[in-house]
Amino acid sequence: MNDDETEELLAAYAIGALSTVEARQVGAHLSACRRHDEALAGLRATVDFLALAAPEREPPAALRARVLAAIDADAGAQRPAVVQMRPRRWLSAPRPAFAWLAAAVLLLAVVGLGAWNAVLQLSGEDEGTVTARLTGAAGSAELVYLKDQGLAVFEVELADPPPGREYQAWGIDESGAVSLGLLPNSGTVALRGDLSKATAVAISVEPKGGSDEPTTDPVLFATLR
Amino acid sequence: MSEDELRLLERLRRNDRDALAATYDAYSRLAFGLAYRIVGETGEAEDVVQEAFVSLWRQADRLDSSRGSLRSLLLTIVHRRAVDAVRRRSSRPAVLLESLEPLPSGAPDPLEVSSVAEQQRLVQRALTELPVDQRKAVELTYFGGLTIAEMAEQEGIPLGTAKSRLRLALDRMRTSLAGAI
Repeated sequence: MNDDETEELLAAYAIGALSTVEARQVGAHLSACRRHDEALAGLRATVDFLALAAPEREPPAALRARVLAAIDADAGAQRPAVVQMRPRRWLSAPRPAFAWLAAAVLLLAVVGLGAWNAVLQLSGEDEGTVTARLTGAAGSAELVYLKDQGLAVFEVELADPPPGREYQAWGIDESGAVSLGLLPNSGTVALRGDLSKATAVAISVEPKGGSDEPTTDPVLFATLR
Repeated sequence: MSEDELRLLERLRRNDRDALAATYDAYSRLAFGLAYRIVGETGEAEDVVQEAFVSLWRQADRLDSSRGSLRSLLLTIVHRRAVDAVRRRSSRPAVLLESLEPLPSGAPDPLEVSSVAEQQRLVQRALTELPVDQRKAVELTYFGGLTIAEMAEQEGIPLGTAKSRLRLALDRMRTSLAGAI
């Protein structure tokens, strides 16, 4: 998505009237381009105010107790959304220690370059692509999933993994985590995989060669919708 | 953000349950009003409000006063949840334009606006002053949960027109709300 297209969709983005795919594409552009910041802030402030145009209404008296009971029930559970959404086998896994952090070297694998061209060519086709930004302490990753080709293209910038370990990407659906393949710590790679049913993607640190199912907590995570 | 809100935010950040109850007491009428306006049904509006407060509670330790007021954060969550609820329905009810009461003359200077009631009056006036097409664009997307593509289809207008109508509407509202924002 370029500057003009983003600007054209900015009001719809601020008011929440874009499809999920479009919103993600606009969001991706906005995260990298500061030119729209001022306009977006103004639009958002206006949209915030719109909430006050709805007439106030007294909720049923029982709702207060229901809300507080829901809070109490929730307080017992772990709080971050990531914990709630990841598969069961990640719940009890120990959190890997990341005391280390090293400068990563950017390298574009040949297959990555080819796939990236495909992404650029397809960027106008909304329904054919799903994009996501994975965030976490270990670094960042951008995912572009090309539905037609069953290709998950990751652009990653991650800290060096501990000796004897490497990064592995997972698609998460109702049945649990399904491996997409191994990732470099830095660069672009295209992995073959089916994310059509996935509700989230995650990256974890696994023993060299990868695991059949995740053995550590995800270091990066994003929900797909 | 008012001092009361800042204090409330600080307490929420420390997971103070009473602070959540106080937030509910302060904003549940606004939250429920907004949810009801969008989903149009009491039971579903209750669910939306409940989900929104739980969501607020879950992110309480990450609340940051620089990201806007507690009230607008809560209402943003309510709006998103309510729109999600509407979008999950297979068929959506037609969105009707609210008949907004004409405002009394002598509306306050936006710069001096502080109370919620005054802000409500201002934003309702800003809405009613929009050309009808633009106002409808705002109503259909914000309160109706339509995407611009759906709005264009429903209104029988090109997508480009829908985009620019919405942009014009929000820019215009911003101008009339200047000072209050």
